[in-house]
Amino acid sequence: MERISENTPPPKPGELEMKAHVAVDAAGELHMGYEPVGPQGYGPSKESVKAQEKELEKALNDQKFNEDLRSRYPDIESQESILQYHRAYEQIDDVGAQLMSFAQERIFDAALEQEPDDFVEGMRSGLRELAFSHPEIIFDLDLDLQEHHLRTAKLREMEDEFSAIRKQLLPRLETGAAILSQQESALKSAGRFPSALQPALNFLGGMFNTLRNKGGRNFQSMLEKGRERLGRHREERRTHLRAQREKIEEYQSHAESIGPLLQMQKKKLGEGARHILEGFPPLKEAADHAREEARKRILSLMKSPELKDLERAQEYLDGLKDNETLQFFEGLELDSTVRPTVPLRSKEAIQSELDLLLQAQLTTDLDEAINHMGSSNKDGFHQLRELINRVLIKDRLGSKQGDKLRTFIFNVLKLKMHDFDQNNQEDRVKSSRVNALMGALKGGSSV
Amino acid sequence: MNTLEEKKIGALLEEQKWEEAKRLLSTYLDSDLSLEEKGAAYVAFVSTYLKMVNQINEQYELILENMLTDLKGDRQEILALDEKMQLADLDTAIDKLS
Repeated sequence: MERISENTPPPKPGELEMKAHVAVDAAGELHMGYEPVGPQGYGPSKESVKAQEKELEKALNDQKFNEDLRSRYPDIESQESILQYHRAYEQIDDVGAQLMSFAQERIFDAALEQEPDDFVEGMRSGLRELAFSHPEIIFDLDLDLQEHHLRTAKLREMEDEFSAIRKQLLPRLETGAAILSQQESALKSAGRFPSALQPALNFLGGMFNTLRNKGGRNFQSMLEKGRERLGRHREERRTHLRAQREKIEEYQSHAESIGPLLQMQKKKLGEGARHILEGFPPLKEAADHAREEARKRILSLMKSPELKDLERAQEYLDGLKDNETLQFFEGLELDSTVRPTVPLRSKEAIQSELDLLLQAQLTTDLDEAINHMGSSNKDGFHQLRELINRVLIKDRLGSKQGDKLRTFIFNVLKLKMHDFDQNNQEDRVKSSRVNALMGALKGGSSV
Repeated sequence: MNTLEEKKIGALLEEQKWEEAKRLLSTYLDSDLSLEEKGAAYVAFVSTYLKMVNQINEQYELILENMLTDLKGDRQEILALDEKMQLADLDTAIDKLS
């Protein structure tokens, strides 16, 4: 695939009116470049001139644009230049938004909810500056962004097709290999007779000998020829099956290895691009900012005495990517030392701390719910059950899940049982209810 | 370097001289900059990265295209082989019946 008009410079004021052009042809090829507006070689059409006049009127009526323009070029007169700057100026928002989303998606960590403020502001001002100093850079950026969108969509489609074909072929090859095995064993057993038929074979053998003696040489030669033909046929069949077996094995190995091979190629490509990111100041700034934001966010959630907030901290922590990889382009994970290391400490260290906080908070909440429960307070029991069921349905309390989670709640309730005074009527009611809950927990059902 | 040489950086990017483009940008960013100047460098950086990603994607598309062609060729041959084997299997089954 190549950029057509690769060397075509962006339009200059006064030249034949050109417009940026990106298209995918019938063969799926991506073409990009500039194309003339109006009949080529005859200058702009009447319609084009009218449209240009309208565009100029719009530019001159754009107050904000005019302020920016006059502050840079107080004496500007060229209508073509004004138009050019205005076109770039009008694209700033769109190009800026796309560029920002590209940067967010590809450069900053997904955990960072927004780009560093000075980065956003800086890019906006930078684009505005470029619209007046080098408008062609804005047009070029727009083309690059379009190319990026189109190509990533195309790659996704191709990758889907690639996986679909592999998925279709692998089971077919397995079935093929099974059929082949059947045919091979059928060929091996052909000519052998079950032992039950042995007496009949002996009889036929006797008959054959008699006939051979009586028929003399002709009959014998006929039989030998038949045997030879049969042998040849079997040999041919054996060779044919062997060839098929080799082919199937070859396809199987190709279909199995082509996926990892593709992944390897992707990784290799990404590694080649890694250098540009390493130690690059804007990225480092963004990385530091991302780290600081993530740290603040998780610490504030972890400080809360609410179980729900701690669970949100867990979700946030789960959402943070491991720090050793950088999402480079669709499907590719690239090892990189420049990847924003979010959060400051390792995920494991934060997880251990969060586990303790979650367990302590659930123990406190269970304790409070049991204390509020009593013979006169049915709501208290209801609240306790609701709390346990909510955690069980989520099936997650930090690192605890499934049976480990049930056992943890069971043990908390068991410890609480020691606090009950069996001589106290209220405590006896609580004890029997907590006991029922423990039974349900042990039985593996909801409470 | 006091001003951001967008043109020069653009030319370096076209030639895929990433390291040089990066060096120019880094030197520029090391100096005392206004928000606009810094912003222009950010734009240049993200554009550099975007061009690089496009470049990688283009190469990847070629690889993927070749592999896909290979796989499609395999599929065609496997389907033909499969058909032959199914027929042979049918023959074997008919032989067994007769």
